[in-house]
Amino acid sequence: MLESHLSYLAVAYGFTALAIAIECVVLLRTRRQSIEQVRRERDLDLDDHHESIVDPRNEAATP
Amino acid sequence: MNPFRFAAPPVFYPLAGRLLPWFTAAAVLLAVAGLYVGFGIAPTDFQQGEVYRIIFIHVPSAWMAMFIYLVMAGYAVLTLVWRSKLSAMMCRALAPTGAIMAVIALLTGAIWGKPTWGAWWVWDARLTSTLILLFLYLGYMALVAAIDDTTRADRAGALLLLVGVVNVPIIYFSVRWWNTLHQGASVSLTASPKMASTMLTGMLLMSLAAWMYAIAAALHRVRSIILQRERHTRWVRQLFA
Repeated sequence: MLESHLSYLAVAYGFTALAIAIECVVLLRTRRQSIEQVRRERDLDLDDHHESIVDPRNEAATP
Repeated sequence: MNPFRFAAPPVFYPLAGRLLPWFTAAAVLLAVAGLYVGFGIAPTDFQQGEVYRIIFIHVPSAWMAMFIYLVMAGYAVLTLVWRSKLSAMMCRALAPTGAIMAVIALLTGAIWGKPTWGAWWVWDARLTSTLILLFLYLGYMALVAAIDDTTRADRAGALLLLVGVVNVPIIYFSVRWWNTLHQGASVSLTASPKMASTMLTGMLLMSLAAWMYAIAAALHRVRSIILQRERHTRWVRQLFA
């Protein structure tokens, strides 16, 4: 009976640990993706801004 | 000091970042202490034997599943009345943790039910209303994910949360209102505890650990949500300059 009870306990605690571990991994991954998204879009905007400065049409318009 | 200034994402984001390690550390320490008391000090139950020790995760997760939903409903009111951006983000940040708590409560309850009741599942009022709570969490997450317009999604989600909050008192009082297989409340504010003090101590420590974990997870998730939603703002871009 003790062994059977311990196996129920092991399954319950094991499942809980697994669920929390999965949530923590997903949290860290989401955080990393959010930071990458911010950096990527900021870099894209910086590139666009840079292109608009060196655009020959802008230079042509300059007296 | 105006407390509403913390509802502004540029103020809340760094605050959450500073609080996060403290809540994480508190969750770990309380869980270690709770497991030590639960497994090392609390005696074996004279009726159920060792299997009763599932209580140290089952009850805290069930409490947290209900409490997180109540907190989300509170944020839903703020979303609908004051149109607070952060409140809607907090609802989204809390929902997955609440759903996980509901899943843990249901599955550990099933694992506990088999050796004590002889069944993994019965359509008991407490079990069924907790299953409905899980569906409410999943429904909320599916609803806000299905609507592209963020503002509309937040408002629709807030409405669903407020409609579903009626289920929480049903869960809590189900063991009083109906004849159920599930036992009555483990802890009551008006009556002395029905369990040994060491069992109660272990359970309360694990409950505090669950609180700290839920707060830490919500703070971590809301920081990601803030970054995603505010990524075009100057203050977010300056964070990673």
